[in-house]
Amino acid sequence: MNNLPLLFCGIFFTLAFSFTGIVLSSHLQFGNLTLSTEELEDDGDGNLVMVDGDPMYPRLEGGVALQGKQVYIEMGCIYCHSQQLRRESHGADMDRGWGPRASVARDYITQKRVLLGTMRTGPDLTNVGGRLQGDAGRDWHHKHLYNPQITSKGSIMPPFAFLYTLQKIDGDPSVNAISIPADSEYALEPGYEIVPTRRAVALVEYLLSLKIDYSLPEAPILD
Amino acid sequence: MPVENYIDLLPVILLGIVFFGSAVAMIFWSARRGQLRDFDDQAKVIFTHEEPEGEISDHFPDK
Amino acid sequence: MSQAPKNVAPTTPYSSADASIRAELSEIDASLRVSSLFFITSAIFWLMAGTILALIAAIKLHEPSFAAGSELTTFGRIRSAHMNAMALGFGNNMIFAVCTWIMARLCRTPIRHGGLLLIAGSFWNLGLTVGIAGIIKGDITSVEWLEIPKYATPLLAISYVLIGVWGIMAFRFRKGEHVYVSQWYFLGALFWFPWLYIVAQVMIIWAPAQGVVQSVTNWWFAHNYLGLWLTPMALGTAYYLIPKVLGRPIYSYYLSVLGFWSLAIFYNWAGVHHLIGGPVPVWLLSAGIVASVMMVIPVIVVAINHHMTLIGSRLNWWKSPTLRFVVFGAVNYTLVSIIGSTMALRTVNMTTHFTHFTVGHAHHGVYAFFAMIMFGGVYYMMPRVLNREWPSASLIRVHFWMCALGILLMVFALQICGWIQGTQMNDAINYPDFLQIVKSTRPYMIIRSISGVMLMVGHLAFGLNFFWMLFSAGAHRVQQEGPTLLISKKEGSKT
Repeated sequence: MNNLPLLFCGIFFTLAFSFTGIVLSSHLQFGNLTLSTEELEDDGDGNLVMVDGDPMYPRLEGGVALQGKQVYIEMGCIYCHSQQLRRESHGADMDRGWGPRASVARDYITQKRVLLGTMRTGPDLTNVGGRLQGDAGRDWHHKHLYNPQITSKGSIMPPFAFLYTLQKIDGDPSVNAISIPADSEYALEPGYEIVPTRRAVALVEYLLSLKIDYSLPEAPILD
Repeated sequence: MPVENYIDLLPVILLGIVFFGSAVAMIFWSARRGQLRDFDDQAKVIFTHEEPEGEISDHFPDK
Repeated sequence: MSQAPKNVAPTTPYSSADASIRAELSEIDASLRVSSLFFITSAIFWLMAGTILALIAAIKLHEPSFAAGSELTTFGRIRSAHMNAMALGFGNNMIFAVCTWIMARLCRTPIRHGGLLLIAGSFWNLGLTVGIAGIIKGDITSVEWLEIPKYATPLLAISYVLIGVWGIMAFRFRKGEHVYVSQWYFLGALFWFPWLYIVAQVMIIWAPAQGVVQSVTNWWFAHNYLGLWLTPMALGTAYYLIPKVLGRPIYSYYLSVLGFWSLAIFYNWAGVHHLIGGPVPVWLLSAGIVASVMMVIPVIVVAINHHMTLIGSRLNWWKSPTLRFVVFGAVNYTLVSIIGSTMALRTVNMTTHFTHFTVGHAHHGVYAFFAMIMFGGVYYMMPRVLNREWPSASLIRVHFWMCALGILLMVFALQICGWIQGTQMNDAINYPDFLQIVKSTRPYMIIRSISGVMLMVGHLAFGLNFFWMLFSAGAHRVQQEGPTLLISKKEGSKT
């Protein structure tokens, strides 16, 4: 074991081996998946295949939601929230109603930065936009981000009140003001209101956009 | 539809076999050159006349 | 004692009667004085910064309103700043100090190109300061273990490469025929790391690969940060210090060869076990699981080697400040690795994944194993480099007890917490409300903060002792009765 070339070759090959086996083969095998069409059909052998048509899913990133993703990244949300659903028999992700199906590699192909996450101090968010939708969902997210205790008493999520502005009501209340019930212990002084900043709006739009509501050939949503 | 296409992995698998073969060849080569002999002498190269074998070189003061 | 011990082959430069061939250890030590002081001082600075950040993050996990007024101190950023300050700031500066010193000693030549080390070190600390400021400011990438923003990473990459070049040059100009086991580990790590780092940066940040290929690359890198960087550096240090302090060769040199190569082969496949249950092909996960289980081989081999060297030395390891830390680290290496292999099994992982169990495991590996061995290395190295004694043995004891008990408390608390959390998370019938799970972790989070305070006390003792030694020039010159016995030049020295 005194021979430098020998030692060096060994050192080189061991890492080359895992680099090829893990990184390169991943890239070759599922580094070039394509979008799926909206409709899928049975090929007769019980397999679903894509039919001709425009590629639809997963949806492309963009707009305000993409700006919101940047806020999600900047705030380090990933360190407490995962974005991956485990299959039926492996953990209780499906039983918790976190999503309609397990997530698969193709679900992430449109994302420039993949935020799988490996910690669930808080719940999984892969399909949070499917769980909390529309204006009710938007309202819930704003209250929860402003102060998690309002919606989830006892939560250890940090408040993101710095993404909101406390201001005096001038004339009519703002339309986008957050609705904190007047009898809540977190109610504001009369005459004041909380409005989201642009970043808070974007972040909530991003959360609303996180949805698994489409089937993929390898991962159909079963009714 | 199976997504995982193993044909794509063929070059990688071949490369792996080549790596493995060269590793085995290297072991034979080094054994032939006597690299794998007299191991226990090598374990003593850390001792010198300044810090020789058989002497403890670090301890708390009162022990 | 100028005569060579009989059992050393007479051709080694250490024992040669010809002074021009023989390189004195003290001469080698002196040649590294400037760079090692620079690195250890930086390491201690990062250690303090990292500990404070850790405490803030820990408190936030049971008092979420603590320091929540500004986005600069929100949990995600503080936690990531802590992790980078510790792993990259403290960890790497320690490695640069301790491992280059051992490398130079084993190459038996006063170092050349010490300036290269200093340049690399300056790049490193500059890049890291910019990077961590960037994380706090909001340029965090949210890629685990690669949070440093894009504009700071090239500096870090240059620094890695320079250190690697230095290592190869030191090795190239070595004297003597034999290459000791520590050198294999160091050379391996010095070569592996830049490769890992650059591939991960390119495939995730600079030219992102498609979809979850990023995640696979991410965990290939992140696990190898521990497996192919911190672990070999700490194991190499232990392989040097245990026999060196006890004055008896390692139990079986043959086993150390087996241990090194099995680690090199298996460890770098293990990382994908962080994605078990995730959206990646099953064969990839299986490969990661198999490799994680195979890690039992190098771990048992290293355990036999380290622990058998100690057996029969009575309690001499306990009487040495250095070995007390190193042996604590070595025992925890065995423990953490066995736990890690178990955690990679699918059924166990189903519970431990996504919980504080993993966080506890990470601290167990990086702190109880790696950091403790590095502390031991500093205790051995500094008196030799500075030619001064450690001023206070009591501070060393405080450091040891606070850190050893603190980290064990933290690992226990987090792993019990994680197991409860995981069990409840997988039981949607009895725990349908996620908030119940969050609330059941809270008591353990408080214990974790307490353990953090203990570690802080230990680190303060360490820092105090170090700067006391550094600045009290002349007051603690080497004496035979000092806190750490230095060079046994004289006849009748301690046994």
